[in-house]
Amino acid sequence: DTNLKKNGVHFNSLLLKALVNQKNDNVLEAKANFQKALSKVPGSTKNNLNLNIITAMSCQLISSYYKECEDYENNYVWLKRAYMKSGGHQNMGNSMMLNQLCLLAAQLRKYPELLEFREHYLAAKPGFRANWTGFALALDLNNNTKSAVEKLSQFEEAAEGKITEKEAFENGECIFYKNDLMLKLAKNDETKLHEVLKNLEEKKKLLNDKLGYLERKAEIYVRLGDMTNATKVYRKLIHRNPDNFKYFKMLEITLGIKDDNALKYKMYSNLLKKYPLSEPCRFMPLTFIEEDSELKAYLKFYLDLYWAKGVFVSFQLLKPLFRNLKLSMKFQKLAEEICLQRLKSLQENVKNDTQSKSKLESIIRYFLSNLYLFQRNYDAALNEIQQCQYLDAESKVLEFELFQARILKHMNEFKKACELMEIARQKDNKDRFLNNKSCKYHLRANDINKAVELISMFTKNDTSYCDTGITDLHSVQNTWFLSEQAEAYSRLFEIELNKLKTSEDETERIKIAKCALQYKNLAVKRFEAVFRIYGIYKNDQHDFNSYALRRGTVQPLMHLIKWVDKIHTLPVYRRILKGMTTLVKKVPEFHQIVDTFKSPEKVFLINHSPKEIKQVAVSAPEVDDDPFGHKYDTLKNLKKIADVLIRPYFEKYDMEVSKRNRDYVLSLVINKWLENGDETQNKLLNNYEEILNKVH
Amino acid sequence: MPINIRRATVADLITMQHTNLTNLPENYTFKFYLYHLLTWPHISFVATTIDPVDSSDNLLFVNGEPASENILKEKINKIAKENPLFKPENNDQLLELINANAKMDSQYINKNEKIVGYVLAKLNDDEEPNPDSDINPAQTGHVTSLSVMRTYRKLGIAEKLMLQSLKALRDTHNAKDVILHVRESNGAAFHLYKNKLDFEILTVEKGYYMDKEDAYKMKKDLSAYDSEDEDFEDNLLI
Repeated sequence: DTNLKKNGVHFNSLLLKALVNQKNDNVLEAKANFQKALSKVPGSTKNNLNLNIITAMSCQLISSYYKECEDYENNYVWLKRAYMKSGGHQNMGNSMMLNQLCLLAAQLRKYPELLEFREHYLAAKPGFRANWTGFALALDLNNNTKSAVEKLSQFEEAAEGKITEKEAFENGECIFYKNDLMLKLAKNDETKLHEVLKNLEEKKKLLNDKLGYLERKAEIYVRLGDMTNATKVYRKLIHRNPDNFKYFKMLEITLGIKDDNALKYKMYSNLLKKYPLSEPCRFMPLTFIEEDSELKAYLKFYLDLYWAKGVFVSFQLLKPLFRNLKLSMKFQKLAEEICLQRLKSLQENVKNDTQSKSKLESIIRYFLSNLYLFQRNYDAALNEIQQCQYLDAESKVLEFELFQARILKHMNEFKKACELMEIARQKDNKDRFLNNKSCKYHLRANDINKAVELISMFTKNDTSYCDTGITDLHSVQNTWFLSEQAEAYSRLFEIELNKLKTSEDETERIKIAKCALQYKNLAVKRFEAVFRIYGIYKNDQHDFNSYALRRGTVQPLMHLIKWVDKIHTLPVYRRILKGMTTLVKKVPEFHQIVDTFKSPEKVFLINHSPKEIKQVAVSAPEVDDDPFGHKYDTLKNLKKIADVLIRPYFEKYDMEVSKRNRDYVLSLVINKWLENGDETQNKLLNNYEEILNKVH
Repeated sequence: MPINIRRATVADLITMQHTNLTNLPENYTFKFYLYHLLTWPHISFVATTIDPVDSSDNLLFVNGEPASENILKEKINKIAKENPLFKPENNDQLLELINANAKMDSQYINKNEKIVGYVLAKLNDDEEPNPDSDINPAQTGHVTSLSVMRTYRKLGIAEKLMLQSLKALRDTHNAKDVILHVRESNGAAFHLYKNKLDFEILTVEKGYYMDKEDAYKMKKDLSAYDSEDEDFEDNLLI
C-alpha cells in the first residue's frame, strides 16, 4: 500500500494487493486490482499483452494470483514464463518453481512437458526418492513403462539395506508399484509372468498391502493357467473376506466348474457351512438352480434366513432375479407362492405367540408389498403395507410408512407421500436419513421452503448472511440436495411459464413473470453450484500430485488420475447437464411472452428484501453480490443462453465421454443449439449408428 | 441386489461422501476423503450392491410380465419416432443401449453398483505422540467414519466392514490397537462396538460433537487379527 501511495499504478504492488485480497476472500476487489495492473502494461493493446517487458518476478506474481483463484491453466502458463525468463533448468535457484511446474503439468495432463520437468527436477534433487518415483510415473504416463521400471529398480538397488523404519511404508508402496508396471509389461508372456511372480514373492515381506499381494498372486496364476495354485489363493481370499462376489466367481473358474450347476451347488453349500454369513454363498445358488421345486426350496431357505431376522430389505436383495428377462417370471411366481403359503401356515398354527407371529407376518406382507409395487400393482401393494401397519399395533416400525410413501410417490401422489414421510421423520427426528428422505420428497413435491427448513436441522447455520443451511450445503458439497433443489426450481419455473400462457391481465402477468424469472435464475444458480463442486473435486487432485509421491502411494494416485479424466461423465454430472438443458430449452419462450408486454422492463425491476436474501444466499456479499442470479436476466435467445449456461459444461462431458456411454440424443440437441456445425453432427450420427448396429 | 464387500477405491469417494451426508451429522469435504485414501489406501472398505446375473432393466415389463412382442414393437416405434435414428434390432440391443450408464443418482458408482455403506479409517501417525499416554499414535488405528444406509440395516454390513478394516489395519500397518468415537445416544453403533467387536470404553469425552453431545472414546487391541497363513486343502466338490 505504501508503494501504491507513491505510485498508484505500481505494477507489482497492484499484483501483490490482488493476491492478498484474493487470499482474504475479497474476490471482487482482487479481480479489480489484478485487471488494473494488467491494463497498465506499456506497449499492450486490449487483446494483446506486451509480454516482453513483464519481468520474471511479475510473471510469478501473476501466476500466484491465478493459483489462489485455482485457475491452474493460467497459473501454469505464467509460471512457465517466469521459469523461462529466469533461466529455466540451468538456474539452480529455480527448483521450487520447477517442482510447482511438475504439479501443474500433471494436473493439466501435459505429459510430455511433465516428463521434461520431472527429469530436470530429478537431476536437481536426486537425493529424494519421491523425485525418482515422480520421474517413473511421468515415464509411465508417457507410455514408457520399460524405462519407468528401470528407474524404480535403480533407486531400489541403491537404497537396498538403507531403508529406515520411517521409510518402510513408502518403500513397500513403491515396490508394489514397480510390480504393477512389470505385470503391465509382461502381458501374457509366460517367462515374464514368472519373473513378476518371483519379484512379488521376493519382496513379499516388504509389501504393506497384504490383500493386494494375494489378489496379484491369484491373477498371475490365472494368467499362467496354473489353476491349482490360483484356487489355493482364492480360498485364502475368501477366507479373508467371504463377502466378495468376485472371489467366488473366480473360484468357479479356477475349479473348472463354471458350467456345471451340480458341482457349483456343492461348492457353494460346502463354503456356506464354513462361512454361514457369506452373502455370495447364500445368494449364488439362486442364479443357477434350474429345477423348479429345488429352486423353490432354496428360495424359501434364503428368505427364511432374512425374515427370521426381520430384515426389510430382503426383496431388494433379490432384485436382479426379478429384473432378469429370463428369470423374472419364474421368481415372481415362486416368491408369491412362498409368501402366501407362509401366511396361510402362520394363520393355521395357533401355538405361536402373537408378538413374534405378527412380526413374521408383517415382514412377509412387506415383502409382498414390494413385489406388487415392482409389478406396478399399486392397490395390492398399498393393501399389503396397510396390513403391516395394522399388525404393528404400537406403530414403531418406520419402514412401513417409508414404503407406503414410496408407493404413493410412484402413483405421483407427492403430497400424501410427503405427509407420510413427515410422520416417519417425527418419530425419530435425530435420524438424518429420515430427515433427508422427507426433505427429498418435499423437493419432489416442489415445496422448497419446507425442504430447506428440514435440511437446515442438520447443517451449520452460523453465517451472518444466510439464515438457512444453504451455505453449509455448498461447503460440504451436498450435491444431491443442490441438484434436487435446482430441479424443483426448474419445475416451478415451468409451472409459472404455463400460467403465463393462460393469464390475460397485465398486472397479474407481470407478477407471474417475476416469479418465473426468480425460479429460473435460482435453478441456474444451483445447477452452477453443482458444476462448480465438480470443478473443486477435480482441483482437489492438485496437491496430491506431489503428496502421493512422497508417501509412495502411486497406485491410488494413478487411480485418481484415471478417475478425474472421466469425472464429467459421472452420474450426477450427467444429471445436472440434462437438468440444465431441460431448463434452458424453455427460457426463450419466457422472454418471447414477456416481450409482448406493454412494459416488459417492469418484470426485471426487482428489489429483494434483506430477509429474502438471507433465505437463498450462498456466500458473503463480497464474494457474490448477486444471490438471485440476475446476471442471467439478459440472456434471451437460445444460442446465447446455451453458450453461457451449457457450452462450458457440455464441452467437458463431450471430451471425456466414451462412444458407448454417450447420451447421443442430448449431445445432438446441444450441438444444434450451440450451432456446432454439420461436421460435428455427422460424426456423432455415424458413431451413433455404429453403436446401434452393434449386435449384442 | 445382494451386497458385496470390497476395498474402497478413489472412484468410490464421492459416493461415500454422499452416504455420509445422508446418514450422519458429521460431514467432510471431498478432499478429506481423498487425503484418507492417498495416505492409507488399504484400510477403508465399502459395501455395494452387485448384480451377479447381469440383469437388464425393467423397462420391458408390463404389470410384472415381460412385454409381448407387440408392446415391445410399440415401445421401439415410439422411441424411433421421437428420434429417427434409434433403430435397435432386438431386445438385447435395446436394453444394452438404454442401460449403458449408471443410474443418474449420487449413490451410484457404476451400472447396478450403488454404495450402501462404508468405513473410512486412518492411522494416527499424523498426530504428535502424547508423552503422558502409553498409546503410540503411529501404531494406533482410527475409525474416522462408518455408516450404512438405514434401508440396508440388520444385514450385519457394519460389522463386516469393520472386520475387514481392522484386519487391514493390523496387517498393513501392524497397528497395535484401534480407537474410535461414538455418540452416547447411538445405541446401535455402541452395541456393535462393545458387544460384537469387543471394544472397551476408554473415556467419555464431554461435548465432543458439534452439538455438544458426549462421545465414548473406545479402544480395541488388534493382536487378535494376526493373519494365519493357512492353506485350505479340503475338496469343495464332494
